[in-house]
This record gives sequence, structure tokens and C-alpha cells, in this order.
Amino acid sequence: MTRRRLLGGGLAAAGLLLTRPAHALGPSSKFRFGQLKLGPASAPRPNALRRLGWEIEKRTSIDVDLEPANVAPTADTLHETPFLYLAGEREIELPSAAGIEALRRFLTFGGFLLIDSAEGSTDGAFDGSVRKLMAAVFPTTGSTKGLEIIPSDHVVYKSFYLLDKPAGRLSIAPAMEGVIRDGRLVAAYIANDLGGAWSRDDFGNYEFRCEPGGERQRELAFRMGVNLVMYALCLDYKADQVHVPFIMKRRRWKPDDGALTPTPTPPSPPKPPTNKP
Amino acid sequence: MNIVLFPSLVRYALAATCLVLMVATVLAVRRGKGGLGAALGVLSLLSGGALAAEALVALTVRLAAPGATEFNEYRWVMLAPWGRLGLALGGGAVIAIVALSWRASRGAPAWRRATMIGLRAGAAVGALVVFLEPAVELRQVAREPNRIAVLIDDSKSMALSESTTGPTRIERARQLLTASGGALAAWEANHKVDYYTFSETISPTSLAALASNQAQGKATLFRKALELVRARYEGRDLAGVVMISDGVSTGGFTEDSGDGAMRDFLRSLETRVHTVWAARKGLKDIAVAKVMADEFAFVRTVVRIDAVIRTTGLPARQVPVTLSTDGQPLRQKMVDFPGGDHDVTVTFEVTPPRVGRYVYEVSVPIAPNEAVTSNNTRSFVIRVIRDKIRVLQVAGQPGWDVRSLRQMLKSNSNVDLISFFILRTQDDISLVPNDEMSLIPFPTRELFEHQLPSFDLIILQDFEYLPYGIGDYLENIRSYVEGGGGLVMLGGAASFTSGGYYGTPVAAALPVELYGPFDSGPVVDTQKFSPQLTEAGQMHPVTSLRYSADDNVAAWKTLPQLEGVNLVASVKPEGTVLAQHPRLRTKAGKPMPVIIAAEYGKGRSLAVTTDTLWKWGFGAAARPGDNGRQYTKFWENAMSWLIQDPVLRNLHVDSDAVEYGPNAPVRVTVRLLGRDYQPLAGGVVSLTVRRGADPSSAEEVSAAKLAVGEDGTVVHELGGLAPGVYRIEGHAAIAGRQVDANDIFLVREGGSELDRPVGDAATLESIAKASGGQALGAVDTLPSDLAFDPPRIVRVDRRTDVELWSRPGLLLLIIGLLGLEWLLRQRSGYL
Repeated sequence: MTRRRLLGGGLAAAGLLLTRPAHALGPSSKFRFGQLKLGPASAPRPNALRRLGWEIEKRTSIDVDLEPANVAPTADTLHETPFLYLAGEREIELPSAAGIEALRRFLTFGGFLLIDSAEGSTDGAFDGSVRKLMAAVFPTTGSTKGLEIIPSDHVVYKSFYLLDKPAGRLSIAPAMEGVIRDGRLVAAYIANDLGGAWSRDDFGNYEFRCEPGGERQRELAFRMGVNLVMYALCLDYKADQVHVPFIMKRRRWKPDDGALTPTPTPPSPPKPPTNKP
Repeated sequence: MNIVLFPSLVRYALAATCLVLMVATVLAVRRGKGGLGAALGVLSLLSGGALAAEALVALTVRLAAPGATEFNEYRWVMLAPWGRLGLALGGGAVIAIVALSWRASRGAPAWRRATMIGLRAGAAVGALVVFLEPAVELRQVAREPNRIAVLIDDSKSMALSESTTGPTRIERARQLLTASGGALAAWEANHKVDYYTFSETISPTSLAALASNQAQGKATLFRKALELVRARYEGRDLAGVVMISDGVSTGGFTEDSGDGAMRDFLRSLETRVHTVWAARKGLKDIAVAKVMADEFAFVRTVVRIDAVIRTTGLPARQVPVTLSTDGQPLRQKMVDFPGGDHDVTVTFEVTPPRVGRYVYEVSVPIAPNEAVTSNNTRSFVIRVIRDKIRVLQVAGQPGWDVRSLRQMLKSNSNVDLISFFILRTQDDISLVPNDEMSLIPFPTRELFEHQLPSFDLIILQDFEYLPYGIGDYLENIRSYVEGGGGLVMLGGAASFTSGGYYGTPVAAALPVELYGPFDSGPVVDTQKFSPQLTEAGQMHPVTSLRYSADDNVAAWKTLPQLEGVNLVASVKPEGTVLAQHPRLRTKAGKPMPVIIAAEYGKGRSLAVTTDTLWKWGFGAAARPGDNGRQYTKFWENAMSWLIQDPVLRNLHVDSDAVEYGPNAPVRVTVRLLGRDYQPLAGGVVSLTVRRGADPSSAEEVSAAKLAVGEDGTVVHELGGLAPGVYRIEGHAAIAGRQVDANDIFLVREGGSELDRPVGDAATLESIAKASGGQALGAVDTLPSDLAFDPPRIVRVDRRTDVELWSRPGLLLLIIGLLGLEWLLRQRSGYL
């Protein structure tokens, strides 16, 4: 070992011992939910996102800002929270044309919208208004689809936990619906009241019982929430992981010819000057 | 002039047949086999009659043409207009007459029967002669001697000697011709002998001129030589070809053309080719006979090179085979060769680190008493291109900056992306069984030890290395950058100083100095800010969102604000600050850098001290009419610069080919672009051309100062370059900044004449065999009785016709034979 390497190693060791950690470079560095507000209706599960955020903070490496931001479609701050959460238990007011266009841009350029129905029905007023909203934001034209069933082999079901269906406080919707654009799930709609499963009161007690699966179902609801956030932040990362070994193998860079790597010839020293008379 | 109907052998055979059949007839008659005796008697008479006919013809000609001795040739002609049909009908009539006579004489004694049939057959033949009207054309002719072409190989391989004391092959050919004076004189009796040397073409020569021939031909083209000889004697009478050679063929006479094709060609010559082998056994050589490698290869991907090493006449030995580039050995294999003649294929694999042209060389050491040393090395060029930009993105935690970068890279069809995100840290709660999670272990060793060199670019994004035990691999990252790789470190809570990189090998490759453990003060700032372009950043490839500087500055002012930066101690001397914080200062009082670029070793590194660049994409898209394209543009720029994409160079120097023949003109195109990547009209470029595989010892062969034209280009021509590896180096100054470019090309040795110097007798044998000639092999003298085609061209000085059918004697003969036959028949009671 050379003296330089020894000194370098010592400095590095000192650096490790005295690493000066930081906690995010600013609010924008943290993950923060955006609570989408449409009309005067208030969020049915006001504590849900904070509780989910807390779980995400504890279970994953994601740095979470626990306080959700309330945003309207036409707000200037819409694009500061790329993950939007829209929950409801009754009919919602559709945004204006400008709001629809703003939502379309938000989702097209990388935003994600999670719609959570708390009305306990798969064909209620909230469900109807959600379908109208999605039809307005993503009109079905030709081959482009609106809301469609998201199959259970979609990467959103394995982005962190391995799941097969979207459990919530209820289990009335067997599948998640969503809108896919350019191969990306831009909006997900789950009618099982995820927020109801996540929500706790100020004393830490869960506010609603999960039926019919009880606490196991609640756990699965949290896992679904984690997966949705993880998908929004990583996209199809988990699907790619399956292919990594093959990609690595295809891109063979290391020679395997059994040859030796000889020592390079050092450059010849300059010839001494010859003294000429 | 003696007319002969039969060759001597046939004549003796006819006489013997006549006698034997006569004796057989006697024996058959004595044994009471009259029928057999008669048949044998008829055959005996026919044999004798044939001899008598020949004598009669000769006598007739002699009597009819007393001066026949002056004639030296004759030929038969048929004056009757019946043609072949008449001949056939006449012959059939004779046979019918004989058959009828046989039937009519049934019961007669054997001798008498045979005599009657013989007489009638003789008369019938006489009548046939009258019917066909044959004549003998006597001619006095003289023949023109035809040509023998003697081809002597004077290619370079003929200058070789199988031993240090023995003659060279060309000397052996000369000795052969000198010793064959008698044979050549004998050939001259009926032929004229023309001498040619042949290698790439044929050249007329003489025995005297051959004495000073040094055998310097660069190829041995058998087929071409024979074609040229054939063309030279087109319409003339060629008696044959004598080819004296060592059989060493270039141009693939026996390899490219199949046996059938070669036979067809040699038959089409319509002359026989006799061959003499001028080489001998015992030559010692080791050669890099052939190198097989793709002309194109992909950067950072293994390319396979197969080299065929050929040993001839050497004892068993172990030979080091070396693959080199730039005069430095890359790979080496020890190869065992058995004694004698062997071909062994040696396979090398190399990984080109960058895009460009590479000259590789396969070499073997020179063996004792080796005949040819120039074939111990073989150089070749591989053009290295890029298939896709291979990017490794390692992120310490998912985040919007991580997501945006991944989404952008994934959507770029030129990028082959492998991402690794830390989804859960050791501090996170894990109450869930692993089989209910999709997490996989972080393959640190695989990535940072085995696969690192396969990437063009490594992005460390908010990644703290310490918890994952990759401290031991940080040196690999540093050496990867030093060796030509690209590195980006993006800001975040776990980046730069707060990522613990101070004093690590990775920090050495970064363009900024980090705060040490004993430095006081914050390491991050969380305020919003708009980064400001520095003067360098206004035109730097990384930060050029627009072509012109003014447009670029304006574009940067429209970008959404960023939020928070990692603070750094200072910028390294080799670092170039492209964008800086508008308010913050380093401890030295200089603006806090935000985007910093630097070259490190052969590679490049980029530091971006914020983790909110995603706002330039998704954040900007909040504004109607803005699609966030600037974010993508910034990263495309950064990738191109980091991987040293040739497109981003200001100076380009390119030769118009990668390989040239000796003395071939070389056109070098120089293109100079200004800082704005527009043609720099009138700019001056210093161009230096050096010769040598090793850049450290390459000798300068040419230097010039060139002014580029309005289009920023100028073409420089080089000529008369000797074989070797050439390096072109271009230097120019753009706004006080030095820019360089280089290229490499190869001037080959002319031809492959000495690639396979061992004499090849088999090729000569196959030529001789297929053309109907004789493979004389390793002879010291030429035989005087070598078969050649006789001269075909004749000159007729005098001619006369002797008609056989119109002779009165013939009529008397016919009457006499018929009279005798009539008399015998009468006495036998058949009338």
C-alpha cells in the first residue's frame, strides 16, 4: 500500500465516522401528497393520507412530507405535488374546462392521480362523477381508452409488495381501474375505500373496521397504498428488474479468452544528448 | 513418297493373321470341318488381300507420280460425289456380295469355296473403288514452328532460400535453365521458345536478363499469368507452357476457385502446362497467416479476434502470441505448436473503451533461422461505434427527480438503462415476510466490480454508499472514470458531503471539493433559487439549451426555480462551473456552483448539486405551451458530453479510409467549428502526421498549418506513405481554448506474397494435371522429350492428285478376279 492510499483511506475513514447527514434539500425533495379538491365537498377521510405517509416513511426509503397539500386543478401549485389523491363519498363537482385541461396536462406530463371511493358502492353517485371526470380528461377516441381494468399482473401490484387485488376498508371492487397513456398508469380508481382503512384518529386508533377481512385486509390496504406511491415514483422499475440479468449477460464486456494481460512496456527513456564537437 | 494404308504394327498383324488363319484352315479341313475351314480361309485371304491392296496402291502411286519423292505429305480424297452415304452403301454392297457368295458356294470343298469367295470379294472391292473414285493427293508442305512459353516466377517468395547456405528459388530456376541447354536446343528444333517472368503480371524476358532478376514481384497470380499468356498467343500456335515456380499462390488460385472451376479454366487454355517446382522442403517460418475480426465493433462490448498462426518446418515449441494496440500489449497467449507444419487459431477478446478507430496488431516472435520475418506481425483496423448509451442509474431513494430522470432515459431509444433504486433501508420497519415483497438484494458486487466497465455513464443520485457496503468499490468507480467513463453525481440529502463522499476515491473524480468532517457550517441549503449561467456555461455543450448564447441565457431565465442545493467547499482547478447559485457563496467568497463539469483522466464527470431538476420538466409543463422539453434537452446534452460523443467536438480530423495500399493518396478532411458549433471560417488548424504504432515513439512524417474555408473544412492530401500505422493530430485554438482531434489509419504492406512462404508443389501438380501437362516436380534439368503440341500451321508449296479408280490395271484386275472365280465355279459344278 502506498502512502498516498494509506492517507486517502484514513481520510475516508474519518469522513465515514464524521459524515454530516442532511435531511432533504428542501420541501420539493420530499414526497408529498396533493389532496385534489373539486368543489365544496370536503375529503371524507381527512387523516388518511397522513397515516399512509407515516407508514411509507417507516416502511420504505421514501422521505415523506406528512402534511398533504390541498390543491385545485387550476392552482399554480398543482405541479408541485405530482401525486394527487381524490377521495369522495358523494357526487363531486366537475372542474371547469380550464381545470380539465390542467388535469390533462398534469397527468400527461408525469403526474399521477389516485381516486378513492368511500361511498361503499361501485355504482353510486361518486362513481358516476368519477367516470364523467375521467371521460372529460381523457376522452375515448379511436384506440385510446379511458378507464379500464388494470390486470393483476400490472407492475403496480408488485412495485413494493406482492399483491393481487386492491383491498381497502371494503372489498367490493375486485379490481383496480385506471387510465394508461404511453404505457404508464396515470390514474388509478379503487372503489374499496382505501382511505377508510388507512385513517386513524388523534389517539392512533383506526377509525373504521375493515370488512370482511379485518386487520389483514387493513394491512393489505396499506400495502396497496405503498405500492401506488412506489409506482408513481419508480414507474416500471420492478418490471425492468426481471430483465436486468439478461441485459447484463447480453452486454458482455469482460474478455473471456483465457489470455493474460501483459504488463505494458514502459516508455523508453529519452536518449541522452550527444555532444557534438 | 510411300503410301501406307496401315501402320507397321497393323501390317505385321495382318500378315501373321493371314498365315495363322491359313494353317487353321488346313487343320479344320483335315478334321472334316468344311464350313469352318472355308470361313477361316476367307478371312485368311481377306487379310492377305488387304496387304496386297496396300502394295498395289503404293505401286500405282509410284508409277503414276514418278517424282513423288519430292512430296512429303499425302491425303486421301474421294472424287465421287456420293459422300459418306455412298461409302456406306458401297461397303454394304460388298458385304452383301460376300454373304451371297457364301450361301451360293455351299457344299463346295473348303479351299475352293474360300478361294471363290475371296475372288468375288476382291472383285467387289475393285468395283467399289471404281464406284467411289478415290484419289491420293500428294503435297509438298513446310510447317511453321509453334511457340513454347516458359514462365519463370519472379515474385518475392522466389527470393527466399530454404536454408542459409542454399540457393534462392530464383537462383535455382536460373540454374535449371542453364543446365537444360540441351533440352532447350531440342525444343528449338520444332518450336520457338519465349521466356517470361510472372508475378502480378507477365513480362517478356530472356535468359540473359533472368540472370539479374531479383524476384521482387508483390504477388503470384497464376491464373492471371496463364490468362495473359493465352491472350498473348491468341490466334497463334502455342505448343505448350512451361511454368517454373515455387507454387506460392496469392490471389487464391486454389482457394477461391473450386477444383471444378480451376479445371474448367485450365482446359479453356487449350494448351498443356508443364510445371517445375523451384522450391524445396526445409523452409522455417512462423507467421500470422490470417486475422479474422469484424470491421465494426461496439464500444464497451467484447469483440472477438481470431488469428491463424502458421508454423512451417520448426520444431515443437511454445510461442507467445500477443495482441497489441498503440504499441502496448493488451492480451497474450502461450500457444503450443507441435513440430512441422501446423495452423493454430488463437482467439483474443478485447473491449474497446471508446468510440473511434483502433489499430490492433497480432504478433509472434521471430524464430531462429526464420526465412520471412515480415509476416510475424499483422495489423488491422476496427471501427468502434456505439449501439446505445449504457447508463447505470443508482438512486438512494425514490423521488420525483429520480422518477423524471428514469422516465426521460427510458423514453430515449438510444439509451440502454439499468436502474437500481434503494426502496427500503436498514432503518425501515419490516414486519412483512420477504416472500410477500418484491424486493431484491442490491447486487453491489455484480454492479460495481463485474459490470461497471460495461457502462458509458454512471449516475449516482442521492445515493449514500456507506449502508450498502460498497466502500470497497468506490475506487472502481474512480478508475472507471479515469479510464474513460462518465460520472454524474446529483444532489440530495445523501449526496456529496452529506453522502459521506469526502476523501473517497469518488470525490477524487468529482469536479468539486467537498467539506471535510472538521469543516463547520451547513452542508445543504433549502431555499428556492434560479441558477445563473456562467460565461463558460453560456456556450458549453451541457448547458446549451439554445444555439446562440443570448438565446441560451434567455432560455435559462424562463426555467422554473429549483429548490435546495448541496453546498461544496470549492471547485477544483480542472472543474468548469456552468451554472451557479445567485446568492450563496463558498467560503472563499466565490458563487456557490450548481452545475460543474470536469475531465478526469480519460473520462468526464458532472456534478449537479440539486435534486429538483425535475421541475424543469414536470414543473415547467404546468405552463401552457411549455412541454418541459428543456429538462430533456439538458440531459441529452449532458449525456453527449459525458460520453464524449464525437458530435460535440469542435475539431474533427478524418482520413477518407482506414486502410490504404502503399503510396496510395490519403485525403484528410479537417473540420473546425466555433464555440457555437458553427463553421469557423478562416480558422487555423495545425496538423501533424506521425508514423508508429506506439504514440510515445511515433516519428513525425508531416506537419502543416491549414486554414479552413467558409464551410469550416479543408482537405489535406498525403502521399508516398510507407507501410505502417499513422496518427493524425490536429490542434486549434477557439477563443483562446485549445481543441484537439486525432485519427488513425493504416498503410498496408503491398500484397500478401510472403504470408505463406513455404513452397507448394501440390498447386503446380494440379495445374499440370488439369491442363494435360506434366508435373516435373523438383528437377535439376528439363527433359528434351517433353510433350508439346506439333506445329499446326503449314505452307503447301506443290500438290498433285493420283486417281486410283481410273487405272486400266484396276479394270483388268477386276475382270481377272471375276474370270478366275467364274472358272472355279464352273469346274466345281456351280454354273
